[in-house]
Amino acid sequence: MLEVVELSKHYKNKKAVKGVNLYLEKGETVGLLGPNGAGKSTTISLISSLVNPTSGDVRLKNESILRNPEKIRNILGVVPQDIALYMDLTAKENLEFFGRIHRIKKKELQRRVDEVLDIIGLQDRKKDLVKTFSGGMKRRLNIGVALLHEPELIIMDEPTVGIDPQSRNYILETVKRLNVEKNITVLYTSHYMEEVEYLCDRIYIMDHGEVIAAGTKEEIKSILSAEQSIAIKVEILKGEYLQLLQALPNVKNISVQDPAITLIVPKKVNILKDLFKLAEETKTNIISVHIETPTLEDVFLHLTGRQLRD
Amino acid sequence: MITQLIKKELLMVWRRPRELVILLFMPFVLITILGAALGSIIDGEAPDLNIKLAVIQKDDIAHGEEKIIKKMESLPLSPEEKTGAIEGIKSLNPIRILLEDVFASEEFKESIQVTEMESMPSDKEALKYSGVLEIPAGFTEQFYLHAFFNEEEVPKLNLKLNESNTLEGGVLKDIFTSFQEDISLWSVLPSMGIDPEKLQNSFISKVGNTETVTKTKPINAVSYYAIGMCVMFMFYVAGNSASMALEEKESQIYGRILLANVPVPIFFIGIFVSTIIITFVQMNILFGLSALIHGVSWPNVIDYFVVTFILSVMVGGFAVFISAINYRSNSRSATQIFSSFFIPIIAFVGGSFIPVSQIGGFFEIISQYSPGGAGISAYYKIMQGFPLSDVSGQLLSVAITTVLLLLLAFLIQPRRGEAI
Ligand SMILES: Nc1ncnc2c1ncn2[C@@H]1O[C@H](COP(=O)(O)OP(=O)(O)OP(=O)(O)O)[C@@H](O)[C@H]1O
Ligand SMILES: [Mg+2]
Repeated sequence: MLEVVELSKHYKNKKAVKGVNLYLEKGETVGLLGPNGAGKSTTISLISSLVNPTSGDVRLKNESILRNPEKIRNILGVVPQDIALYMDLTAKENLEFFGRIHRIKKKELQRRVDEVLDIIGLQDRKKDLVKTFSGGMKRRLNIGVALLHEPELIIMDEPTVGIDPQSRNYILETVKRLNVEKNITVLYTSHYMEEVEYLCDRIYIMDHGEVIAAGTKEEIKSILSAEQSIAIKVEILKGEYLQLLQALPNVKNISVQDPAITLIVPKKVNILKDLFKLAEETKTNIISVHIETPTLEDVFLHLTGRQLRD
Repeated sequence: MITQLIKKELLMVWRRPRELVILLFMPFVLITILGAALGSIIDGEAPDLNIKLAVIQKDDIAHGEEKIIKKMESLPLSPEEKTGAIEGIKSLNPIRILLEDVFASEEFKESIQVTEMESMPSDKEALKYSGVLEIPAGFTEQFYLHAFFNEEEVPKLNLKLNESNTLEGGVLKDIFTSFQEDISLWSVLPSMGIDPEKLQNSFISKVGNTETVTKTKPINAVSYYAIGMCVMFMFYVAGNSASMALEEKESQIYGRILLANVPVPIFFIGIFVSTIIITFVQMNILFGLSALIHGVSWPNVIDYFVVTFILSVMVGGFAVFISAINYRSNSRSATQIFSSFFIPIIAFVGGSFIPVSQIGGFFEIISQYSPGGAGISAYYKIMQGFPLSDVSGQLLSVAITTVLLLLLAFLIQPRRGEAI
């Protein structure tokens, strides 16, 4: 349904997106993962026709949107990364405003507003000003606005960022339901691996403006199938110990979540002996050691050398 | 669609107490404070007219009247007509009206001091007076001959003004121009059967009006500051609209609006129209309150509305212009420069704080035609009772500014595909 071909966006002193290729089939939920500054939001702006690409093309149903952005705009609902709402208007007023500028007829509008309020679970707060809402409620309304004109395709840019687990679950459930019940195609951007794992059929991983991995969850995980991740918890983390670990020949990747350390090493290698030896040498007390098969998070770490959440 | 954009804008301003304080409360407090604090100074400056008029009366009024009455009696008229005409002659004597009714009237008694003289004073002596009026010999007779018999020209009074005393000289000149016009007018009226009483009244009230125009219906300090502050604070509406518009861009609401296939110009027209409405309402609230609480009044309310509307449109132009710059530059700096630098300058130059235009010369010109000054001058003049046509220069300057702003805004409007 949507195809992105060699899409690039260069700013004066920054190449934000560099030759990205991706596609969406009707009814799919696709995840777009990447650390801060990877170029996810820029890619979304390019796809939704708000920003013109430096080169490349976005094709909707085999037709370029560059000349005719109206077409994609009509079937597209975008949930921006920021809360794009009027804080001084009520939830209902916001929905009515955006509904009206989408040219939804007055009679129809009340029905749609009601429906959306049900979907996002804000029926009982519809008469309150948005600025009195909690972060989670604002996020929900932010999504609600994108649903008003019944889009075929929704693009969500980190819709759950910075909110409580309950609201987050609610939003995830909602997205899933929309996809399953209404067959809406979803492009979902997130920092949270577990969200993407739960929602998405396929995943794109971006870094430094490029897609560095793409495929189904299983395909992506298999990148690391030959590796294992070892989580070490220590009493007090010493720089010395870390340096020695880094110097070990088999360690592919190392990351620190004080007082824990995660190592990625090939499956066949027995590294535990070295771990304990070095701990003894540096007088580091190890509290626990976990050996895990890699998660998406680990794949991410492996590919980008960065955590998903900086 | 536009109505939605406008409605939303109005709602937002209405729900922002901080904005309302800046747009309504502050100017009103300033009007009150400045009006009270500087009132004495400014009102004191409002010129206390002290006109000294030297009058050289060479005309023998009684003799002139007698001659005309005789001539009248020799006419073949009925006795009633004759008595009527003679009555008319006596009560219509222009010199008497001028000297006894006009100069001695309530309005002028205080401000005009008449000194009678035998002959033309020396130049040096004349400088002590605001003007010297010579009533030539035979004036009365000539006037009647012209008025009733159509013989002779309209007689002329001889007025010499003291050049160094422009304000008072101006008042005198107005009085006499008006007087001269009137006596010419009387003479073309049918000579008989005129109601002398009516004419005389109309003359006095007319001269009286001339006085208000020239001496200017005294505008007190509160009224002056009502105008000054209103014209200053109307510009903050533009700053406010522009910064609200930028918030819309920063929070990606603007992107959302574009995604609804709203054309960019429509979005900006929304800003333009809502700013006009907000400014117009703001002015009416402020002037309304000033009228209720400080008694600031307008002789012609329609003219007031016309000027207010034209100024509101200019403020709308500013809002669109600043928004366009903000949108293109992706920054708040245009609004900041406008609000913290440009508005105070506009206000000062325009005379929001002190009547700059009275400094005269170059200052008077920039003050009268700068965006704020044009507004202040226009309001000031119509408050004094001048007709709209007398402020067409200012209004034209406002209109030109508006067109320029809109044109520039159109040229720098955000480009398609640069919504972020
Ligand atoms: N208008 C712009 N001008 C210049 N550089 C920009 C502009 N917009 C984005 N960038 C740069 O492009 C890069 C990608 O930004 P983008 O917002 O797309 O990242 P992101 O993946 O969405 O990050 P995050 O997870 O933090 O939202 C960043 O380095 C950013 O600084
Ligand atoms: Mg982003």
